[in-house]
Amino acid sequence: MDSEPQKTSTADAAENVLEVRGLKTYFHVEGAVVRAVDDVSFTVKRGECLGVVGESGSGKSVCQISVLGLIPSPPGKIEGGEVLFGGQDLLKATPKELRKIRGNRISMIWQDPMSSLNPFLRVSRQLIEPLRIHQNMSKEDAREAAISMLEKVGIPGPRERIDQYPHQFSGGMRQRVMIAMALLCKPELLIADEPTTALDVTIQAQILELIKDLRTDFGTSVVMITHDLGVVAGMADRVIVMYAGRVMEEAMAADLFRQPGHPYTVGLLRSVPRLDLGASSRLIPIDGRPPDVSKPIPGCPFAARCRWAQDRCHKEAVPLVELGPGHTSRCFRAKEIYAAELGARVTSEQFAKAEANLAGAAVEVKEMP
Amino acid sequence: MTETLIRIENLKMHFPIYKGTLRRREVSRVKAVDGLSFDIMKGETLGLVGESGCGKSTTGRALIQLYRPTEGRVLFEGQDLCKLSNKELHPLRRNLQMIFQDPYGSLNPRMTVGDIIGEPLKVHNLATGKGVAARVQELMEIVGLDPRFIRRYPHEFSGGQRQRIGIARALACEPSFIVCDEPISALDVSIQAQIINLMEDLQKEFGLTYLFIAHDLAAVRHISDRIAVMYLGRMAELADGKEIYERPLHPYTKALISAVPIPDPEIELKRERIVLTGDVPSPLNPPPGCVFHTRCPFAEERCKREVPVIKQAAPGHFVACHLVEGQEVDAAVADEIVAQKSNEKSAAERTNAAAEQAAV
Repeated sequence: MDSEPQKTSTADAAENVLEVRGLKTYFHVEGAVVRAVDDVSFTVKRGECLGVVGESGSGKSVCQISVLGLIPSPPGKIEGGEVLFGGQDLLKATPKELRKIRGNRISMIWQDPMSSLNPFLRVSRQLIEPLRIHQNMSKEDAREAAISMLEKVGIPGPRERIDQYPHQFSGGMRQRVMIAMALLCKPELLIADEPTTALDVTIQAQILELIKDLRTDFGTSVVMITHDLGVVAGMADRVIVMYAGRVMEEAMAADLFRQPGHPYTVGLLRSVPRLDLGASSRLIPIDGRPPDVSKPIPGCPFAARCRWAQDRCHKEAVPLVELGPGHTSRCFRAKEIYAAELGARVTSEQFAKAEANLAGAAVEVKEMP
Repeated sequence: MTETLIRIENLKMHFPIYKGTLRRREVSRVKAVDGLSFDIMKGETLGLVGESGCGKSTTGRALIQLYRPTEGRVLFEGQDLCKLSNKELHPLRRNLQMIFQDPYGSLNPRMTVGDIIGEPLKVHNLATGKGVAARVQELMEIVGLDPRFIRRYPHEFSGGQRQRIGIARALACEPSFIVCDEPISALDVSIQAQIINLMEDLQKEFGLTYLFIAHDLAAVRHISDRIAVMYLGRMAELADGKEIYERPLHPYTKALISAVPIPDPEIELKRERIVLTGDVPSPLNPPPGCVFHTRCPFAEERCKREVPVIKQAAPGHFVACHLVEGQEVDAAVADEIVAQKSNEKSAAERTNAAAEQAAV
């Protein structure tokens, strides 16, 4: 196969902005333990955009909220792990220390801009607040900084609009205000939780372009949480795929789409209608639905829906398999799946053929170089 | 071979806005749909796309008379539905069904699945007594639900299963036409494919005609034969699905297509985006001339003044834009050309088949 040399060598040397190791966030509800995030590890490198893909309930948001220490407790509890940000473990930080980091060095953009802006306060007041608190700016300076930031995020007439209330802005404009607010203190890390899901496609394109531009201008690292593989393809340098609170696969975006190594990733790629392919190919859905994470799952959480599952997948803990530089998959048959090359470009016939091969007994696969 | 099932002529749906309590008076109108004309062919899926607030759902609802249109005609089997009284409409309603967006809001939480799916059967006297339960179970099986769950309540099902219940209810009266109003946008990605495949299978099995309304262009392109693009209550472009993707003519369609992300980083890198500036104007006060001119990168002086008429740029490809060359048509004539074209196509297929047989 024509696997060209990886571009990851330079990225490896780069410094990690955020390092999460073995994070576990459990919710204790009505006597049951919901393992929303179960032993998740990942890193965010300086200046990169990490895409976090998963369906609702996969723990992708809870994972990032845990990083910020915003999990409501009770019922939520972080049961283990480390979150290293600039050498400091955020899980051990005091609330006061966390407050100094949140909104200052790590910012967040939420999905719904209406419910994350205070409807009673003018936009100006909400924008000035973080600058006053974190950077000890005077009111006048903060106001000027806020106005220039609104201009940067593309709000026309910022000097007039800054004194308006959130309801006077449209959905796309509100999301711009949110982004302006998040970037005011020039954070090192921006966590964007489905920032465009509530928006129309043409507005989505505007917001994604904006985040791209701001990334280059400010050198901010971005964690982009989304369920939309298209958004990830256009934005992310590296991707982690989450399912039932666990990381299923991690790879550079180009590798993941060209040659996925996990049946769930393959399933996601095959089940999304593509604008460029049209009606020619029939979708291959993932049967069934996500498992109940309040019950312990001994084996692979995806096994029940997996078309290539074997006996051991249901029983034994699944190891992390390395498939290439920076490419790992949590699957017993990762190497076979990877070798079958079931990427985004595969036609239906090729897929059917590969599937027939995989459906049989475990195939011997040569070790990957 | 291809015949028109529903013809829409100059459909307008305006919602009046009133002011004052003692002397209630109409102050203005939201022109949700403002002059639409198109045909829906028997057995096809017509996709209707547009951004939120462009009037696509209103069109669907006005079409099956859930709203009574302000103006225009909706011809179904030669009858103008807009002229019929509610009583006269009742027997026709079983042919015109709807699948709703929200699988949570569209099922009564206090009714069992059996009651929900069985209700249309009772309303239209299609089954009585034990026949109802038997038919409900048959329908549940058709949409891929376990018939043993007939006595369960909606909250006991997942989103995808609920959408199946909604589909079973729409199928209960053996309709010929179903309006699917964003049937997959509330579902998870892995579940969306299940529902799309189910809808495709049902269409084949029962010869259904769909009006598939969605904002997700990729899903619409996947399921539709022809696609209509709406903007602010008007039709921007209407063409065959492949044609509209490969050769979009209206600047809005071009922007819309370029804005849809494709799950392939290599393609994403190479793509050129037309990023539209600004937001969709309010339908309360739509801009004069071409409604799109405020955001159109190619707008000229006349776009601000004159409303563009529908032109036929290629057989079956209709577009409302001043900048596109084409033969001016009114939609009714245009549809005959489409029908003619598909007749020619099927005739060509027949001759091909005959030639093959002869060769054998």
